[in-house]
Amino acid sequence: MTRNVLEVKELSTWFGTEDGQIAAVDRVSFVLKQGEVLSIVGESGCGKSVTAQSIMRLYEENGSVAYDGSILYDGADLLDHSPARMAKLRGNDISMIFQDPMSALNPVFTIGTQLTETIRAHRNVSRGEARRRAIEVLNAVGYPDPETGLRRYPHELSGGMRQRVVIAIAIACEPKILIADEPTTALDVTIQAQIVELIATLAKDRGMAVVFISHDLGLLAEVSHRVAVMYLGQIVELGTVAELFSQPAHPYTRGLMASALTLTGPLTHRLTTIAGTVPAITDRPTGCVFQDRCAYTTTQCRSQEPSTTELTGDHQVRCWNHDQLPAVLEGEPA
Amino acid sequence: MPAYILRRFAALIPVLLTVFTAVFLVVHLAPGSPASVILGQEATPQQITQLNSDLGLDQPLWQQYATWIGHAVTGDLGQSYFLDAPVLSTIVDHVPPTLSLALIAEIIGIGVAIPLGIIAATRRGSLLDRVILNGSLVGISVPSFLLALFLLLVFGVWLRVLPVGGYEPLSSGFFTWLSYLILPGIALGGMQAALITRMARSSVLEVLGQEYIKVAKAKGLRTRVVVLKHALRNAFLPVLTILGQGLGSLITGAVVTETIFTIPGIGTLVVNSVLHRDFPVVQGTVLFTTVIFVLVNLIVDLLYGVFDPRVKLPSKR
Repeated sequence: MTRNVLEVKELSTWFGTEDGQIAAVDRVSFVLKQGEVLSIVGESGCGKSVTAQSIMRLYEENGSVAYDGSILYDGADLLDHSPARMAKLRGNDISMIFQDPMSALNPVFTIGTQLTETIRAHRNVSRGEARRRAIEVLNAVGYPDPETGLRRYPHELSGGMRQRVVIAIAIACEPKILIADEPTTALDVTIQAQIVELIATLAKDRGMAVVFISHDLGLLAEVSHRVAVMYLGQIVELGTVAELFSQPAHPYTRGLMASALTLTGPLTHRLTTIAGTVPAITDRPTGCVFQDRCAYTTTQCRSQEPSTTELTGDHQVRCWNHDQLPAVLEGEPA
Repeated sequence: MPAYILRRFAALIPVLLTVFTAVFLVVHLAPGSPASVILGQEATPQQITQLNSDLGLDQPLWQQYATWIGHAVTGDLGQSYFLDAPVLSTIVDHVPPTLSLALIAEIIGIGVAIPLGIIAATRRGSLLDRVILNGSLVGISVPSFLLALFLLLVFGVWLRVLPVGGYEPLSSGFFTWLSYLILPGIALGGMQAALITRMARSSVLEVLGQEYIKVAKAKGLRTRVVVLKHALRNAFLPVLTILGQGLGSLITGAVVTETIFTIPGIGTLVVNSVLHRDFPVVQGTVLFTTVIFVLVNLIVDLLYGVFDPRVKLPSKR
C-alpha cells in the first residue's frame, strides 16, 4: 500500500464576515497518496479553491480567517507551523498552479526573474546556477527557446505559454505535492488538453502527488485516480474514477454526470441540468447541504446531517438515501 | 525614444504660447502701471510718460506682445524694470532656494509617506492603519501656512533649535543649508506627504489583492519580499504620477511657504514682481515654471516605461 503524503482531517476554513463566522470549507477529510492524482470537482462556490488554498495556508490569519482540523504533512500539522516555516514549505514541498495565467505572473518582472527567485528562495545556489535550472525546468514544461524566454515579460506571451511558465515555477523546486487549481479554465480549448497532459506527465515523471481541481468531469476523468465531489464546502462523495463513474452514489454526483458533455463518442442522452443554484454559504441549511436541489429529499435530510458512509474500499458518500436511488437517473443513458 | 522626447518638446510650444498670452493679458490689463510704482506718488505726468516710453509701455499692446515673443524666442526674456538686471539671470539666481526647498519637501514626502502607506496597507484595519489614515486626513486638511506658522512657533521660537527664516546656500555647509530648509520643507511637503500616504496605501492594497501576489506567496517568498518587491513595484506607478505632479507644484507653488520663511526663491520673486508691476519678471517666471512643470511630467512619463515594461513609449508613428 502506498504511503500518504498528505492527510487532511476535518479541515474547516472560517471567514469572518459581517454576518459572523462562515465556514467555506466544512470538515473536509481526505488523504493524498504518493504519486496519485486526486481530483476535486464541484460547481463554482463549492469550496474547492478555498480547500486548496487552505492547504497552502494562503489566507492570512489576521483574525478574519480561522482554520480548524489538521493537515498532516511529513509528520507534522501544517496548521501548527510558524509563518516562516510555512513559507519554506510553499513552493518547495507543496506548490500550486493557479487558474488564470494572465494574472498569475507579475507584469513588471521578467519570466527569468520570477522563475529564479523561486529557486533561490529555496536553494542556496548562485544566480548562474539558478538560471541554468530555470532553463532546464522551462524545457521540461515544453517552453520553446527557454534562454530567450527568460528575458521575456509576461505580457509578451500567450495564455498557454504563460501557464507553462506558471507550471515551471510550481515544479522548479521539485515539490512532493502539486495543487492545480483549475489550471485550464482560462485557456483555449485547444490548449487545455495539452496542459492537463503536461501536468499528468510531470507528476508521473517526478513522483509528485497532485490535487487537481476542476469543474470539468471529462477532463479530470482522463488524468485522475480518485475523485472527491464537493458541494457547499463539504465532500459529498469520494472514490476512484471507476467507482464514481460506474456507480455514482450521491444525487449531486449523478446530476453532475448527467449534465456533462463527453468528448468521445456520440451524445447518447439528453443533457440535463441540476435544478437551482448553489446557495450562498451564509444560507447553509440544517441537515443535508444538497436538500434544496435534490429530487430524493426526505424529512431526515432536512433535519439530520448525513454521516459519511463507507461503500466499497475507498468509495464513501454522504447521503441518507444513497442505497435507495434508482439504478439509472432520468436523463441518463438507458 | 529620442523622437518621442522631441515631439513632447514640440508640444510644449503651444502650451507656452497659451500660458504666456494669458499672463501677458492679465499683467497688462490689471490696474496699476509700473511707472507709477517705480517713480512713486510724487512723480509728474511728464516723468511717467517719459518712463513709459523708455520701457516701451506706450506702444500698442499687440506690438509689446510681438516684441516680447520675438525676444523670448532668442532666449532674451527682457530686463527687469525694478532690479536693473536681465530677467533670465534674476530667475536663475532665485532657482536654488526653491529647488532645494522642493527637493527637501519631496524627500520628506517620499521618505515618510511611502513607508507609512505600505505599513497601513499591510496592516489594514489595525489600530496603526487607522492612526495613519486619520493622521493623513489631518495632514491634507491643515493648510500649509498654518503648519508653517505652527512649526515656526515650536522649533524657531519656543525650542530655538532651528532658524525662523532666511536661506543659506549649500556652499555654506550641508547642515546649515538643511537647518534653513527643514521647517519650510515639512510645511510644504506635509500636505503632499499626507496625500501620497493615502495614495500609496490604496495602491498597495489594490496590488496585494492581485493574483500574482498570491502566486508570489505560494512560491515560498517571505512576506517582506512579496510586499517590497512584488507589490511595491506595481503599486508605485500611480504614486509616481502624484509624485511628479507634486514636485511640479512644489516648485511652482512654494509662494506662501517662501514668503513665511523669507526664502529668496521663485515664489518670493513672483510676489515681489507682482507688487512692483515688474511685468518682464512676472512673465518670465511664469514661463519658466511652466517649462519646469512640463519637464517634470515628461520625466514621469519616461519613468513609467522604466517601472512598467508594458508601457511602450511610441518611438515612431
